[in-house]
Amino acid sequence: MPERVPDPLLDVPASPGSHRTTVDEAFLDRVYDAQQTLAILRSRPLLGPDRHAATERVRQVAAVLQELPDDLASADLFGLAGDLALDLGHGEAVDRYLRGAAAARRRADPVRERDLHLRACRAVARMRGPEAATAFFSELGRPSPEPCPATLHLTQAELDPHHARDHLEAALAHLDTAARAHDRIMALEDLAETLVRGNEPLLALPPLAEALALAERWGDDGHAAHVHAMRASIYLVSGQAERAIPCLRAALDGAIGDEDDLLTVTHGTVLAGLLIDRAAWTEAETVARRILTAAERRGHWIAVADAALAWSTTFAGRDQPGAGIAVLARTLVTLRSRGATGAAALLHARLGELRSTMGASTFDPLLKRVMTALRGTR
Amino acid sequence: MASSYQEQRRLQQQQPDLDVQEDARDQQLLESLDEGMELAPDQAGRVGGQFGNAALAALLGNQVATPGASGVDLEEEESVELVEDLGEELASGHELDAPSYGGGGTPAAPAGGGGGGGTDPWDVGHLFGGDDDDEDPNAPTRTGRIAPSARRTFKAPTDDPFAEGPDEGELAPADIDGVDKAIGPTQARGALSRDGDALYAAVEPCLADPRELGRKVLEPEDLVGRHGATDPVGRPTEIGRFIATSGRSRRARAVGRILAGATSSLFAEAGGFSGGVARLCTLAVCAEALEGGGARTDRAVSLALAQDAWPRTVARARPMAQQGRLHAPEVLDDLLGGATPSLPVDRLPPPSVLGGRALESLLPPAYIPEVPDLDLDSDLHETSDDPELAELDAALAFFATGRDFSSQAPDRPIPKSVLQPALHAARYLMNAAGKAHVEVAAAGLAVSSVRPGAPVRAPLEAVDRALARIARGVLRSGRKLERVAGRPRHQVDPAEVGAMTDELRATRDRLLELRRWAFETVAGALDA
Repeated sequence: MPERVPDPLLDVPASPGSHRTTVDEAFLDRVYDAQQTLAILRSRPLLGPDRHAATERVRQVAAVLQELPDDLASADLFGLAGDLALDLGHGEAVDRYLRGAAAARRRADPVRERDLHLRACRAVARMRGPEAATAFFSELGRPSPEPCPATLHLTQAELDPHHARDHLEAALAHLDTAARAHDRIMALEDLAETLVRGNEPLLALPPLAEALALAERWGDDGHAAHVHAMRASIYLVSGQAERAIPCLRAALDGAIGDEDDLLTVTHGTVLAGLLIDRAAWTEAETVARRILTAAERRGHWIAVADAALAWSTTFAGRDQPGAGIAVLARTLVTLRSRGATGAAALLHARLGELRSTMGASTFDPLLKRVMTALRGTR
Repeated sequence: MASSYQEQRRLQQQQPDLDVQEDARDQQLLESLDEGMELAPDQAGRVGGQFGNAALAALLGNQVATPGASGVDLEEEESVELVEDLGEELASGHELDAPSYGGGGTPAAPAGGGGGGGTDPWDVGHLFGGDDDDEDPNAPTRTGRIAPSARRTFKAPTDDPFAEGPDEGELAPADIDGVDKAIGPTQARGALSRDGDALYAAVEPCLADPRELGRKVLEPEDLVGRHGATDPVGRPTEIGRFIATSGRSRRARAVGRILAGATSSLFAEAGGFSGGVARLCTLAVCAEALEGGGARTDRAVSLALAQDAWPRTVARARPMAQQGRLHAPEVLDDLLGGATPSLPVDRLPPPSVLGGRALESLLPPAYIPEVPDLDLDSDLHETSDDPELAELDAALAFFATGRDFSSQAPDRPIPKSVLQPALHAARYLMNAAGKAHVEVAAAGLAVSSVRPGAPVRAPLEAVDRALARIARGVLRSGRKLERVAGRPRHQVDPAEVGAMTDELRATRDRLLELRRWAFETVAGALDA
């Protein structure tokens, strides 16, 4: 039997000051703190500031559980850690839920055990497809009355995509407490996505509006930004680019607030394109420069080229073709020197387009001057 | 040449008679077929041609030997060659009036197959049942093959308005070279370090030539007909489409949907064609990065772009199927022109779920039917307890259907039509098992095209063996069901028939599971 890979979140070492046989004041303090932290984790959803703090809190409680094993606490903690992983689409969610279910079984808590088994089943279906989870689901049986109706419906929504809408609507009827606000937002987003997939994108807007209100109530900029991005994608796909712009602005603000470079690049790229199309040069330049910084930090060279291209277009739009060519040429040289040939080819093509439009007699002296200046600065 | 043509004409003229005789012989042979039964090599060759996959070879205890294989004596070899020669001649006769074989599901499969309206080489045709097939438009012909659908012939236009002329929007070489000349050579500071998002390189093959990335002026027509994995618009769009349908991350799927469904809104006139391409490629990388998984995800995405794997494999598998020697590993060897590298399955990297989905996305939708429950009394007419009402019902039924239900005895033998739904399912399962050889070989080819030398042979060999077992299972259950037909109703226990359909159902589940395992494991070989 292969050895289980340690979970980086849960299999943390115990406190450095701990000793197997010593029960001192520091130990009691640690246990007390862990109890308080776990109480916070249990009572609050994984939203807003709590989402950012959750990882550290889980790690803190897990460290104390190494010293003082407690199956009840473990079941809750593993469940929360599983939710965190599932939210991010990470496969370790399954293992965490199953470890939690095993702890609940040792503690003779069948309701908790079923809830965690259903969550594990849902995670399997999400990660590996509904067929992979069907056998697992049928092994779980169907107790009557169902002790975990909301989780059951959420699981069935993953297992039976054709009836996902019905199951998600049924689940939402049960997810009405503050402690399950995170689950509710997830279910609303899933419902919206199901409707989009079913070619009913406009019906997806009301659930998204509710998810947005909930995310804003909990001060969760990240989730709010994601909801804005989903709305923008619906508008874009249905040909309403004008309505997508405010959503993309909000999504970009959320990504910047969350310090998420990848989402900044993603939302910014789409927004910059739409702004350029509407000749909103100043705002497009601001967005392009934000993308440039974020993309460089991530090593996303194609996005660097795209942002440089967008920035240069804003100069060209304001009758400053020389500045536009300078941005392109400088980025092209930088990307070539880094070996990012694909990204450099895009800028090369753009310079070719400008040469074709402006004519060689206008373009070539400009580029020559830019290159002279660039060589002088190096 | 002339004599060969005359020979073909002669064979064509003899075809109907030959088909009837052949069909009668095959039918007799199939009816007398049982597991483990000994067959003469020529009989095996004939039936092998109908089955078109390894299943029968295994069923017949390796009697369908390929010439030159060890343990086959000269007489057997000669007879197999004769059978194969005959099969080829007949097949070439078929080809004269049949459309080309293509991929694309079974005859009754949902529309949208992989580009073939004709018969599939792995179809087993008339294996089970068939008496009631006359009403089925997709039913096999007397020869056991699906009849070709009528095709309209189009006359080639003499003056094609869409014929490709010189591309006026293309950038002149002088524009690209002029830029290069002014910028001059750039000293590279070593190769690109593939850290961060630079890991995601699946989109880059379309960014090789700057001339392809720019247009003189961006026109709406520049975005029309942009398909394929080498096109600078087609490639990122395909990546988006794949992630939108198969991605695990919600955010990645949302970006994928924008790429796949809102391409035109990402092109701004002021930014030119290159600006739009840059935007699409940026979002393709973002979608991959949001999906996470680094190089593994990137390789899986590249796999989804190997779109020529399926048509190439079908073209190569067709003659092998006609000769009754369709084995996934051999098809792949043939495609790659040599023995494919191999690693034992237990030493391969973990299966790739996303890679498996990528491989499935390359194939036409599979049609693996559900096995229905059988109601043995479905042919019996319901009669009312009220004699007057029963008489009225009988009269109405006679007028409506022309059949006199009152003369039907409740204990009459079970007709084949009652069993037909399950027999149909069995036949299509057999087809699906034959097709699976080609699907898995196509998966192997796709992996080898993304990473030449990837060790994909071992999973293919395992699939080959498992498919043989599956086909045996289907055949066994189908034969048992066939034997129920004609038996007096009171002698048949419904539970016994239920067990047979359950067996078919279990075999179907095994086939589904095997396909998924095969795709994920073959895709995993990319990471070896």
